[in-house]
Amino acid sequence: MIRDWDQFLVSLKTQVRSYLYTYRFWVILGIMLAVGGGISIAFTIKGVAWVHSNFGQNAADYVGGELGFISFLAIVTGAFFGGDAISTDFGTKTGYYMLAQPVRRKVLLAGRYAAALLVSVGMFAIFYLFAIYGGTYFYSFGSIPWANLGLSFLFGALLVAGILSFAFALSATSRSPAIGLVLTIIVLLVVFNIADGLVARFAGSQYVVYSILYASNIVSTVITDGLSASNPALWVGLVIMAAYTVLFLAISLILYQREET
Amino acid sequence: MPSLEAVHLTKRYGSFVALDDANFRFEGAGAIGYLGPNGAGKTTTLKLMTALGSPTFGRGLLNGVDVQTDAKRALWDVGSVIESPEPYPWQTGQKTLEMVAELRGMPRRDAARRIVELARALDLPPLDRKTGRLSKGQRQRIVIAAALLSDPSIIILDEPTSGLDPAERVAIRNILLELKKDRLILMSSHLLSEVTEVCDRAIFINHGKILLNDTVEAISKRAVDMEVDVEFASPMAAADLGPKIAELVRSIKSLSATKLRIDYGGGQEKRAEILRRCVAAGPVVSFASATLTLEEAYLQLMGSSNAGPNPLARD
Repeated sequence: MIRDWDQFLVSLKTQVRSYLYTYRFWVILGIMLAVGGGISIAFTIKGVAWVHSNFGQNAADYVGGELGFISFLAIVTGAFFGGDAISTDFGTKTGYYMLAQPVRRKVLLAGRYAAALLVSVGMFAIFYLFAIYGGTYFYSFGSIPWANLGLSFLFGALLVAGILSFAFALSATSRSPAIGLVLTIIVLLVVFNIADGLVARFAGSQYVVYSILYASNIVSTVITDGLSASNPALWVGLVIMAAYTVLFLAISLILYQREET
Repeated sequence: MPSLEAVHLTKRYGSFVALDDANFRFEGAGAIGYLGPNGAGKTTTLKLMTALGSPTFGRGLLNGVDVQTDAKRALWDVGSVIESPEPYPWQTGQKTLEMVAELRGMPRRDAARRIVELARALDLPPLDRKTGRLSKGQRQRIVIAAALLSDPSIIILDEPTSGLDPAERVAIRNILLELKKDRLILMSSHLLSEVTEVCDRAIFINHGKILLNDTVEAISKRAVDMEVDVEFASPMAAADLGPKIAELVRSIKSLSATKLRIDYGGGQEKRAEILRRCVAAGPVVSFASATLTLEEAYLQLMGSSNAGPNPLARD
């Protein structure tokens, strides 16, 4: 009998293909290129002096500032690539086809999750390339804080993992493939933004630890402040993002295994 | 030897019982028809047998492996088509079949050869076309091909020919007739002629309860013991013969001007007496047990399951 690992790879490959053959991949790529490329082009037109006067003389401040968009991009990416990962089996008749195959559902889910993470991080990398281009063009290649940028990329990958888990879990609560996508964007971009603001104002920012948006700050602050970054401290941000990844992925798995066609 | 078994298989949705304590076991090659009206519990049973749903109680076993506790192993040697599955619409027919082959661990060369074989046997649509652009019938044939791809020993089909045109139905039926020689097929269908032609056994289900599980031949035979067809040399009306045998029979029905069907409820002595009186009433050309098609048995059984005891059930 074929190993789970081989079936995981088939699931991963199929999911990556599904992204490439559908519009969403190209929409996200378009957003990444538009935002990243737009910023780079606009700043290039404005010139080095303008960038220095607005971002300072330090490449770290520039790169960190440009990556301030990262939580928005991570949410959109996670929602698009994870928002229908589970509901697609039950909202359409694809489930009758896939789930009757001799493959464990957890293996199918793992393959889809890995594919979503791989493609999302790939998209993410495009934005980092634009940030590196800007850092090199407006400052110098050597002035970019490479170690911190590497850490930032790893944190960004963890952020995407957390958001994907969240989107997977939401997609398991509905049979409509669109619901998971829309809910992820509304909850993370609107509800969390409002709730975080209210909680921080009336109770204090230390109570916003439920929010992955709050945690996402470390992706950019690690570039400017390194390991001493605060609000939140790196470890707090990492724990929140890891908790989202594990908790919501576990919820997704439980719901997926219980769901019936 | 392939085997398929339901043990106290029960499915409830709140207070609604979709499947009520279903029990059956089949072993060895052959085809079993699963019959019942819409909402009877056919698809529920097949879903539980293919891990698409989980039972409230009981279990399904495929080749002796519990579907609920080890679906991968249980489904390993099983091909199924439940409801009208839809492959990924962005995938071509070729990729759809190759993906199934990969998930089932088939060597690439074997898969390629088998796809060619099935494309010919099932007259598959062009395999380079995306399945989302195929007609329902074409998609159904791709899905059936996927179910047969790994040459499984058990095949579970839920109305496999639904959506197919008559020529496609004949092609599928011929394939099933060939497959049942050395495989075990469980198929639900609304087409009783198809079940009669393909299946050796039939299960009748209604309101989630299995009413009957027997060979197609025996199901017909049970009914024939209760009715005789009498043909006279000259026209004979039911109203003319009726008074002469009234105390022996339950009903008389005219099949033609010279032929009557007499329902006497069984019993050799009664049957002999009816024959004697018929001969006295006029020249009898033939006197034979009424033949009952599966369709007639189905209608009798379903009619009575809504309103009383099962007339085909054995004492």
